[in-house]
Amino acid sequence: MANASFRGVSKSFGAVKAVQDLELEIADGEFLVLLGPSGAGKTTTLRLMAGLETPEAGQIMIGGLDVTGLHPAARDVAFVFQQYSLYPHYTVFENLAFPLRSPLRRVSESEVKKRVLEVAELLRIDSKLQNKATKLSGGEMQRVAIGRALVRSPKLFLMDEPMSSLDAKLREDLRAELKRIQSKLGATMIYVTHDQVEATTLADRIGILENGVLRQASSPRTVYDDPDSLYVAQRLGTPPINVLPLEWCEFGGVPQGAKHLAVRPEDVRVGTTGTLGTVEVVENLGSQQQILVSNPLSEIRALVSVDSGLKRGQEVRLEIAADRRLFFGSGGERIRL
Amino acid sequence: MADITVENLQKRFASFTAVKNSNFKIYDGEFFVLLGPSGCGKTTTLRMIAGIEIPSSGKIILDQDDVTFKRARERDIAFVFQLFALYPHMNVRQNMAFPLENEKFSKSEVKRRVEDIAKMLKIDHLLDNGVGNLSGGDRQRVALGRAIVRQPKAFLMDEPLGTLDTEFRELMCLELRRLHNRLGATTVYVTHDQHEAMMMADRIMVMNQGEILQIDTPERMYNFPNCKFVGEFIGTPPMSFLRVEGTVRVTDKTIAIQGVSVGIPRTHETAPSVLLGLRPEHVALVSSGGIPGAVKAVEYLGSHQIVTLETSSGVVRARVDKNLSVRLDDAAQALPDASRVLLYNASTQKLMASDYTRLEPAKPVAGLAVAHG
Repeated sequence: MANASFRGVSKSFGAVKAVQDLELEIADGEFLVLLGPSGAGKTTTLRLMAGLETPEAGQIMIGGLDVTGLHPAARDVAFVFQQYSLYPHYTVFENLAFPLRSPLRRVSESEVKKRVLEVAELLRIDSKLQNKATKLSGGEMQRVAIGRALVRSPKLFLMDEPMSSLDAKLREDLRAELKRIQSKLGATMIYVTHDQVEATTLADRIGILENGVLRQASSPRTVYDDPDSLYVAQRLGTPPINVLPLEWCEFGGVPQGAKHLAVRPEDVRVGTTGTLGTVEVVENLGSQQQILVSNPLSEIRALVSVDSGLKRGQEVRLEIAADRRLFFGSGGERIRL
Repeated sequence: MADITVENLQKRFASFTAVKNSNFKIYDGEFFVLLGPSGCGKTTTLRMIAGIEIPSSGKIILDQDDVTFKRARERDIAFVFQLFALYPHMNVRQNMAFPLENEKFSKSEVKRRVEDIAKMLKIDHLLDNGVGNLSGGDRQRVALGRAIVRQPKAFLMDEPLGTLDTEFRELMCLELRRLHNRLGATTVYVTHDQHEAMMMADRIMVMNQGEILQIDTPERMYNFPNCKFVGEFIGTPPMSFLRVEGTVRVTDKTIAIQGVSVGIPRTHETAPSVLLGLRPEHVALVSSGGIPGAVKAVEYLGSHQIVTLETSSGVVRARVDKNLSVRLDDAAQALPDASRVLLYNASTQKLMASDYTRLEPAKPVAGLAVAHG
């Protein structure tokens, strides 16, 4: 495995600046997730690392080498696409063996067999090796696609929303499996997604992109608890973070320059003091309830316990602990106390 | 507004039975969600209620009226397929007024209704805009408005939020539920997403392979899944199941897992082979006295973490504090909350009755408005 970096990399498509002056170091063995809505530049960033796009400016490094001018094949990276692209007329074994049988690689047949078996076991598809690729379920196909990337121990894994076409339960299983495999192999991984659960559960660090600009790259905890901007704060959290007018801080404590108060729904408490509002909706999330409370100032969501006994139409007072308040300026920049 | 009663409803396609002998009643004003994996028969059931599909046998009664063989248009219900389908050449007002044009309403009545609904959906300022450059949320509101404006007896919705991304779907769930609170119209809603169902439903009906498995409020569905399938289908992460050692007998108050004695609510049933069902929030990680295992996954989710333990009796997940430090391959022990655990008969996969499951009797569904506050 290897480290990788973007040094001042930019890429445009016509007038659209897809990636702007990107500076990012990915450590050896790190799991980096790029998160953002569609059009944020995630996939372009990944394709630049793979060599599928050529940057207009900047350098791309893999394992200390400048690979900016190198062909994708010469970069020794493995790319897993959103849509599993398997050879339908091949068996699972042949699909997995394919990258190793490339004439460039000269791997002996016994070695091929050994590697394929190892990877198949790791991904729990060893019982399907003789099946035709078309006879597999969606989850199995995607595991084969990931397996094909794993067999050849590349310097870097690049994955572009590899689970987005799978259903929820399968995604959950495969997610845990991928994390396990990555940490076991010590693989360096750049993984693109717009799914925040994938981001927080898989990543060592999350890189959050907005219109081609990297807004923050930090651990999931830092992104969640200590975001640098409102945009970043709004990328994580279900239900999403509440954005409120400053009038909610009726007891003061507002830093200079602040325009918005933001608070996570789990940090809003129903109490005896605090701001008054009316419960509009009570929703069940199983282990918790989500309530929507409105007053003339705003609407706010709070997570409360399932046995809260709260009812629609009820008046409640909401409290936000001083240390759970996040303040942002007019441009959405974080104002720290 | 209307009750919908379904009696002995069946639908066969050639040799395949899509819906097996279904019986249920949807009450006036209820938000009723049909939930299940693809191919479970939920959409076929909805389409039979709508009159788009003719049942092989059985009856559908709308209020007192047997509508089993009536055409869709004779049923006075609105079917919402995908909320996004708007007429691109019409503006918002024309889109919303369209369903009323073919009925005998005066111009002023149409205007009044469209404007009332638009105000309720907070799109009244957009009435004279084209639909081409509306935001996704506003488009969805317009489409909803078009369904509401006719004031039908019931709304039927087939995965209306299926194409939206997570963040937006969450927002629309809240709006749909809020709208329902205001209109109080009977709504039958099909989805495969348990989270949507939990958020919006007064009652959920879970189906699998053409069969109804359970009909209950979200709370009861989550707390007392009546079979293993429902326990795994409802909740993210799903309910965990651990193999219990030996026979469990009526009045037992403890069971053994790997030699560890685990307290349980007093059981009312006997079974030779039993599974212990656990919700992640009812499992604590402890250093002694629990069921030993190894940490196989630690998933950070912002407000909390989910830790997956592999034990020799099965995999168990625990919901723990976001700041608890746990690492992959650590040894850890799982301690179930003795007052909240459920037992399942391993051969039938059905929930076994206990003091806890009998605690809240399955309440009759009268006064549904109460379920959501």
